[in-house]
Amino acid sequence: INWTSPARKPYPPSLNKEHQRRRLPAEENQHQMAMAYATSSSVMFASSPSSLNNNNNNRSPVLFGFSTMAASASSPKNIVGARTNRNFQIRCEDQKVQQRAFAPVEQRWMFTDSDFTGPDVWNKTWYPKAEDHVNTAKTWYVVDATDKILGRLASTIAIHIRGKNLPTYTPSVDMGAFVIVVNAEKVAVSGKKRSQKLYRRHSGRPGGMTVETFDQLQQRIPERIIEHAVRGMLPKGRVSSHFLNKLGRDLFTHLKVYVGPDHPHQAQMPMDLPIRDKRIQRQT
Amino acid sequence: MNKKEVFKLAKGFRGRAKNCIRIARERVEKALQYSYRDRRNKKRDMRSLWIERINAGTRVNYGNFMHGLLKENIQLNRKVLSELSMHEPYSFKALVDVSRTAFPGNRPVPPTPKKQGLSILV
Repeated sequence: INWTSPARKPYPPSLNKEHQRRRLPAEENQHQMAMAYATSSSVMFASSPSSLNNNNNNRSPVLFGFSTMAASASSPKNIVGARTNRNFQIRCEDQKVQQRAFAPVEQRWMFTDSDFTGPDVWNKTWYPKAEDHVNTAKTWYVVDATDKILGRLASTIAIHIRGKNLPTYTPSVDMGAFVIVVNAEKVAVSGKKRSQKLYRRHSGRPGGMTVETFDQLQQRIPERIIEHAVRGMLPKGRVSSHFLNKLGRDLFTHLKVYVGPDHPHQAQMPMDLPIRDKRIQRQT
Repeated sequence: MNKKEVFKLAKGFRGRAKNCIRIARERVEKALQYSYRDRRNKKRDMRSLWIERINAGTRVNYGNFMHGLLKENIQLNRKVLSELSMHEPYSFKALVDVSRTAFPGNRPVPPTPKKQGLSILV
């Protein structure tokens, strides 16, 4: 998040429509109050949050800030809107009317219905719509694999492809980014793995097991090393099995591995992959 | 239940399970059992989804963040926190700062420069 440019809208595309973000007057006030509390708390962290919350705990949850002394002290005649004719009342509405009747004037808005009839985006957990995960609008990242430890690099790549670094992460939807890996033949492993790590595959027929070491595979097909590592860290799913969805298969296609320093995706303007692992670079 | 109710519940099932009563009855019974179980599982899954979203939104990890909020007696629940982290990033950043000051272990330690050792002489 670019904290220095607040002009950018933080909402996902499906919530950027103005009619959906038109707030109830109730929530608008509460939102402003919440913002005020949040910003003030960062300044005066010692006293304000705990005192505010202690005050809230003592009062009744229904009528915010309303003291019960005032209700008993005032007579029914002075309260505006109190119904005196109780012959034709419906029981369930009775409580609501009483609350509305006994509330102070400035809190009436809490107990009246508003005219907003759209979807409830404030109380339901957000789920991404189709426009929130269009492939053309996703970010592209570039990593140089020179002298980076294989497993740590694959782990960060897999996190970014899956989308787990985003707060809008949804397990059933592909919210991740595309990742390009260049210089794939220069990836490093520690210890004696270069001659001892084995890559196995089986053709399905008896005696069809093929075993290769790391450096043999690196000479033959260098991209496969990184692809194998990242594929093991992404969800598995093939189109033939209907128990595993094909999300895993599609995620793997978002990884692009190239031998050598250049890649054909200049048009996507990829940015550098942010790496937070301190031990990813091989210590030489 | 009689057949009409069974077929009503079997709408959208695969193959003969939506047409033939013997198969449909089994599948519908299983579907009702799953829905009973999943009404309870849904609450767990939602909470874990909120926790994953909060964890992605903070740069400190989730455990330290929640511990900091607990110390400051901020009783926002995980659903609200996850919605804040997605749609109100500035408010959420304020919360992360509150948590960081409350729990000093949260402050990310800047990477200490490594000692050069003898290789500097070579």
